[in-house]
Amino acid sequence: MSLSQNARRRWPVLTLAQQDAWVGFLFVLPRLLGFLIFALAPLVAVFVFSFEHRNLLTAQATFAGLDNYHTMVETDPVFRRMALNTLIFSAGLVPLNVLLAFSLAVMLAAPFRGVTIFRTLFFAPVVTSTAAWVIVWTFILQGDQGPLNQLLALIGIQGPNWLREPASAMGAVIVTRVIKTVGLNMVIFLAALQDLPRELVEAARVDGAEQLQVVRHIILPFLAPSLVLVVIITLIGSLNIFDHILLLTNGGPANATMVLAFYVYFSAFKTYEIGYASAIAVVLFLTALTLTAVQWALRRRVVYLET
Amino acid sequence: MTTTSRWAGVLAAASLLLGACAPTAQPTSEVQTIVVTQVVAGTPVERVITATPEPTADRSAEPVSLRFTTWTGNEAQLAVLNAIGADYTALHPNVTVQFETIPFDEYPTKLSVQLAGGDPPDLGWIVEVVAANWIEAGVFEDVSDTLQAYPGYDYDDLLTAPLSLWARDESLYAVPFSTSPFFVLYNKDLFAAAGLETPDALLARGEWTYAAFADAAKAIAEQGGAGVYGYLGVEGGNMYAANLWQTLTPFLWAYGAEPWSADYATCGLNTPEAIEAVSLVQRMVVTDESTVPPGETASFTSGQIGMAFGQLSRIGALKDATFEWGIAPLPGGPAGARPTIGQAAIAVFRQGAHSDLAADFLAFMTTEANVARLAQFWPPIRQSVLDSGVIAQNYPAVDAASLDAAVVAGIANGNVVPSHPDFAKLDLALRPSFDQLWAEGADVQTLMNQACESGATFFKP
Repeated sequence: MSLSQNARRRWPVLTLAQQDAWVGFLFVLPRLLGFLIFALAPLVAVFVFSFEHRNLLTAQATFAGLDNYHTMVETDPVFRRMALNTLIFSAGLVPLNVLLAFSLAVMLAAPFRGVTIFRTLFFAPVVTSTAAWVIVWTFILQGDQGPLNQLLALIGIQGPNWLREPASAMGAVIVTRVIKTVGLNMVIFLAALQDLPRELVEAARVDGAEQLQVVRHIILPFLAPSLVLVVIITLIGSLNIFDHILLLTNGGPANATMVLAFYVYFSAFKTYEIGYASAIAVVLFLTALTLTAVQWALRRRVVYLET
Repeated sequence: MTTTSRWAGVLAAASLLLGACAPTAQPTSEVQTIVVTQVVAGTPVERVITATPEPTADRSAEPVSLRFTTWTGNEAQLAVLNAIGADYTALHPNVTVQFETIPFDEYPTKLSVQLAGGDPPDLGWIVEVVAANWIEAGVFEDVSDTLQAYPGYDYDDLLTAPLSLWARDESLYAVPFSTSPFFVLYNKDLFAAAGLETPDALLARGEWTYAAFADAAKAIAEQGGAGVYGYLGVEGGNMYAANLWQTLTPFLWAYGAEPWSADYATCGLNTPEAIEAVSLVQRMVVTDESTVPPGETASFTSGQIGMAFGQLSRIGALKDATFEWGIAPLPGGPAGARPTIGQAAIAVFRQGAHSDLAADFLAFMTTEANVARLAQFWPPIRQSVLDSGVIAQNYPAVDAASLDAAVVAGIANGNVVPSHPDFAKLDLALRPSFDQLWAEGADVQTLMNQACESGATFFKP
């Protein structure tokens, strides 16, 4: 006897539709409670804390109104620097990641000998722990003794001390992050490409289309829904970047790689200003939400095949 | 010794290698004193240590469990801590002490979250860098009265200078369990290969200065070639990041400079003395290229490093070293030699459920006898324990005279690296100027002026 039939027996006053609805609700209730307690409640708490002067050490809190937001915008030069760093990081990471993932997917969509090896190779960093990844790259990107610079020296180029010079550190962080995460986006594009009707490509080729034209007029429009998804998740990921930077540069040198998520951590757990940290987190959250909403609103202009 | 049954206490000599001691007899409820035997310079010495018959607070027989947080996971260290806890339980059967390990990297963060959640430990280890901030925030209980009232405590035996970080006027907010001076670890083989006199020889002639130190580092790097450096910074750390202040401060002090004034009112980084000191470090990094460069990792144990700032806790890693090494005090400078110490202390949390009892346990834990037991791992802050020769006994691999000069004298006369109530923010503000210091052509005066300007918000009386 099914659960639904049992429910109907116990609740004879409810209509069948209502009984089904209740049973369905009971099934999702554990997940819903988990979301309310562990996701929504902390989110609400962060909003509330952002309007307080709250110290983590003393656990004392007083209402602050908009003080934290005022400090952030008007008097904290560190926040402005972090916001700029976050902008630079996202502006570098998102296009690079999406373009590379798209290119790899197009190249690895064709069935050729060894394609699985290449797909695995590019996806492997995604499942590698960030700590291990960072240790390897810290070694590779050392100054004169680093393998990369020794390689460059062979062709007469003196590389910088990648992670220790402000001019190169952010670039190094972006590139190492792109290589770490590009495999996931590549898989999303690859999955979408599996559904691409081959006759469309073949017809285009019969009509004399070059590879670039096929990509531009057939593959790209077909992948547009996936593209929007990939851009959104990559952008959100770029705004939340934390562990990678903490381990690779710890925000240095000269605070050149310190981003807003890092500043949230710093304010909460280094200076114990949990109210101020919450305000920064709210700004970060609203930024991600706004950018996602804008992209979602714009999707109809680029997505032709959404159903 | 009065009344009372004693803890006839003599621990086997084997357990006293370290000059440590412990009670031996089964305690009773009437116990008032403990007699221990401590080996000092190979001779057993009986010491009488008075213990309170009951805690000074929470006299009820209700079972109480004190939670004590540490960052050590070392089983031998935890065994000593648990033994002290068990001895306290023997005196106070209703009290047990639970030691809880939190990894060092997460320690302040997890502790702050526990404080915020209203569930702090009763006692805990505290690292020096957060001392000023946490004391100002009122996190710790003032234990001065409890310690001074504790029978047989001998408060004046605690060394004054190393205690200063944790004291405010007449109040004391923690008792250091580890007072570890920095010294110079040097590779004798590399010194010999470069045809240099050892630091000990220079010290004997009164010529062991930072100028000589820098010259030796340069000579070692030049002679050693690729991969060999004269200086590392702090062994096990990073002189350009986490250990910047521990690396710079000895240089600054030797030249008569302070990074900032003791009352936090003024920045001292752009004074002529500070410029001279910082310029020397910059010369070593940029011009001489005698230090391990930023971004590269190295260890003194590799045998490729001429000198490093070290502490006693690093000595153990050298037991299998394939090269000859030695230790020497930190060099001096125009303002003389001023030892620098690193510290960790035990504090009682004001929010704790049993803060009076916790203070009582802190007093018990830092009596002369228990400090002697702890001294097998952590350099003590008690003059009497220091005088007992405990350091030399615990580090037989190191020349006793060098230990006396570099460690014992360092503990007695050393100062802790400057702290600040807003240290994290100040460090964040100053750090960009120092990060730029290691680039070729960087102007020290300009950058130090910039540092003082960036940190101006935090330099107010």
